[in-house]
Amino acid sequence: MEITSRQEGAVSIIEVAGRMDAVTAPTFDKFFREISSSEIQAFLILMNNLDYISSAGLRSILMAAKQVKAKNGRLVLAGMKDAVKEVFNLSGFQAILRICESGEDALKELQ
Amino acid sequence: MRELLRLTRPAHIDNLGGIVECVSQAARAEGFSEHEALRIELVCEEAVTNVMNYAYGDRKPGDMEIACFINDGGQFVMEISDYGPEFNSLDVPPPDMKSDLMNRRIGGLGLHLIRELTGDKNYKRVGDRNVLTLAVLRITS
Repeated sequence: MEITSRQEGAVSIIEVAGRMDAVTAPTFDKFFREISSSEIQAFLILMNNLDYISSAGLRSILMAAKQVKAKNGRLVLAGMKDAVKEVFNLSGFQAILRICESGEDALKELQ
Repeated sequence: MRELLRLTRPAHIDNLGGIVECVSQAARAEGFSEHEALRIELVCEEAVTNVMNYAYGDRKPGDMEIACFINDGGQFVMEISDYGPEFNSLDVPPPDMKSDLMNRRIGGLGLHLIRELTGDKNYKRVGDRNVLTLAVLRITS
């Protein structure tokens, strides 16, 4: 898995690529904990290049969403491929997370 | 059923990537689509990590075996065995699907994904082995 981040206005954009599984998820946890401990309140996780996610990856996303919520911030996920979207839907996560089709829509919403 | 692959590995997380890769290659070589191969990888990871995390408790990890087949319906079937105490993971209760974000618990989600993405599923205790057999659903459009 590759994780990169950049700042656009007040929004922190985190891009995840490759596979979020039981082996790589802890790397995301560490990365996100550092980013979310800053002053930033708006987060976009871009998944356009994420091929695969398992329950370990879902756990990381849930933890990230809880961290953001705890500081009254906002988190939007965007750009999911079909196989990734299927896993989110089967888990019932679409009901508790904000998910946009495209990164542009998500960014507009967060700005 | 036609056998494609049979692997024996220590049930340690270091072996997860290698196991999933072998299983995925077997599926792709049989012509399963990208999305179907990702489903197979997911069911494989969830079932295999379950054994790695729980089958041997805190003891030194024992072996696990993964065998892959194509059944008469053209589905990809995985048979996952371990030598831990008797445990039927198909009996694990469904996960929390109702709580709001802050109260949502993650336990049982892996097994829920397995249940959702497989058709025929079977657990049996054979001698000193737990044997879980899972037929991954094809994608019909």
